[in-house]
Amino acid sequence: MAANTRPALFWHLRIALLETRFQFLSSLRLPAFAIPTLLFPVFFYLFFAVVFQSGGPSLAAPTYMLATYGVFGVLGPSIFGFGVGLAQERDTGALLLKRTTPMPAGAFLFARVATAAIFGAVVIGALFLLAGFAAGVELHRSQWFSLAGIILAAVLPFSAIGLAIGAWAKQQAAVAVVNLVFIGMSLISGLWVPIDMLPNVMQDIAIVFPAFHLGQLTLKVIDLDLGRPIWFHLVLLGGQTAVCLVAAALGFRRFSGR
Amino acid sequence: MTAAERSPWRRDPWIAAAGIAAFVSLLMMLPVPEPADPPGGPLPETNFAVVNVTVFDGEEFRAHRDVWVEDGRIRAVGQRLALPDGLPRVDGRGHTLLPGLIDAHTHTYGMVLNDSLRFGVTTVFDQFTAPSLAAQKRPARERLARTDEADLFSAGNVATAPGGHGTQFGVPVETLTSPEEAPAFVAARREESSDWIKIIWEDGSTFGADIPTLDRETIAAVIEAAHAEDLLAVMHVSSLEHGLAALEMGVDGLVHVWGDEVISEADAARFAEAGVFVIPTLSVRLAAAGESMGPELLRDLHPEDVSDMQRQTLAQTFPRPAGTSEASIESVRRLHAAGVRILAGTDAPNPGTGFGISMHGELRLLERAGLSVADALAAATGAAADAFGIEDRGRLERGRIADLLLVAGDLEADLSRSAEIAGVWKDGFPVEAAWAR
Repeated sequence: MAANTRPALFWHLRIALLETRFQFLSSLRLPAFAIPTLLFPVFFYLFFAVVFQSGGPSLAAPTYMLATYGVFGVLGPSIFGFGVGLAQERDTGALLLKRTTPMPAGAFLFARVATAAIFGAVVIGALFLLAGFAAGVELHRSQWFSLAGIILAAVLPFSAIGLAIGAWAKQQAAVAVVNLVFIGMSLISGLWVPIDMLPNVMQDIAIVFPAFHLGQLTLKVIDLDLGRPIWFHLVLLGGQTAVCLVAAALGFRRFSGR
Repeated sequence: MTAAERSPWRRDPWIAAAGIAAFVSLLMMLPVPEPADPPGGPLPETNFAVVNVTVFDGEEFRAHRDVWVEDGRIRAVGQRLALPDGLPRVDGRGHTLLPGLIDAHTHTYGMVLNDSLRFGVTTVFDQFTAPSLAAQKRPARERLARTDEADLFSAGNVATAPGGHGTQFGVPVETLTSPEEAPAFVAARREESSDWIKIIWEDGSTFGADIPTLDRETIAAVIEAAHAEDLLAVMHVSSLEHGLAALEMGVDGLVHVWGDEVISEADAARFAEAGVFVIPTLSVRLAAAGESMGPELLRDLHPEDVSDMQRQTLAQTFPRPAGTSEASIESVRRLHAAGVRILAGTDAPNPGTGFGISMHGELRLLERAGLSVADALAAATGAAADAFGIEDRGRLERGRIADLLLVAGDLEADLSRSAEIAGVWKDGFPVEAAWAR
């Protein structure tokens, strides 16, 4: 067969795509996952940025919220997919089953990240359409693309958080932990309410959260950030992601050793 | 069609590609802002916006603001304003926009109003001129129209003694000699539409002369009469002793800082407590000490815009230079530190100063006296308007007249950038000058 002469990378990609398809479909068919992750950010934006701000003299609020609800929009699928999904698959034994198949571990991770990115892209698409055509937000083309790019890239650090939670928490606990992180981190990081309207203490705390840095990086694109340098956010974000990945690795080692 | 062809193995890459294409297409069709023209070409008038500019609003700097001008007034200042379609936009990136400057101490003479305007000074507070001239120029400030002159507020006739300071310039001056004449004197000024009352207390002692001047009782009576007519009373003094005495008499502001002594911190605090403002006119104090900012200003500002008169007065020197400007600068430092409201004024066209152009030097001198960039600029905008109770200019806020100064660069980082004028609007109309060509 001609197909067998193709390089290994081709097959890896094929497997990764296929796994993504199934991961995406199974997520989509789980209303408890799909509905909140897709609808929360879009409805929040519709109410707070479009309806409440309609006819105002400034587009600062709808523009700010476009960036932050975008980050919020990828946070959901990333940490729920990894955090809850992984804990579930591990505790039900599905993960063990997958490990017995010849599927490379990379494809498994790719599929989950890609699924979060697809959900994220759908959310971004809906938010951008609402912002551009209902709220009246106008951005330079480069700003639209930069926003979309940064928000989609946020899937990686957020997935790392989910991975760490999924690696350590039991199935039942994972739901609670993920929700706590999801809501708490979003609020304190200024994703729901502009961060300069929050008490100073919360602004100081926010620095420990990746969502804060991603929010600021997106806000920088539209000149609405707090004015810290880019490297400050990138360094802290990188460090926080590394911590999550190490935590996840330690968690899985414990699981594998059992 | 075989099972293999229908297999997701073959379709997936196409679905992925289609999804990415759809996402990129969506990003391509989202609305973009209308183009904004960089300053340098012809500037729009009356109805326009300066977008994405760093603003000094008369008090503090704010980055990334839009300023919307409608019918010659400021309609809104804010981040990402919802601007109407088709509104001309000036791209303010890399520039700083501030209220047109207010020179709080000038004397109306020659082309003062035109010379001032070309250098971003859109309002002058005249501290003595012929009442007829002031009367002729005042109405312009009430209307929004294309003009090549700054607006004028004026004390008009000053309160001085017969043969006293102010009578030597050839302008007829109605003098007074006793406290009893004070109410009638102030009433006459009110009749002439003087915007405030200026009193001269100058015996010439600080520069070795002997000049007739008003006595303390008369000065106190004029201040009292001005307040009774609801007018501000400001005073010319040239010694610390007179400054402190004026404070005791209830003066509202001093139009010079003295140069004979440095004020003590305790006395500076008394000024602050009384709420007395000071227009130090360091430009002229510098010239009186035989120093000059002329060469520096002529180098930094657009030479084609400097008129013969500006060049001439900048080059002039006082007949008997005395003392140093250091004592004056140190006094301003202490007054400012104590919280006294400092206003920017040049006393142009005295020797060593030039209308308009010297305001850019005065800003630098105020910075040298310890004012932050924002405080120095406030002294030339918001604080000046506030001190004289003027509410239609001096700040970038809704409803105020669109008197605007656009400079290239980050003014907050470098105050000398005020000389890099990229645009001036008076009443919402762009001012014509060499820097506009």
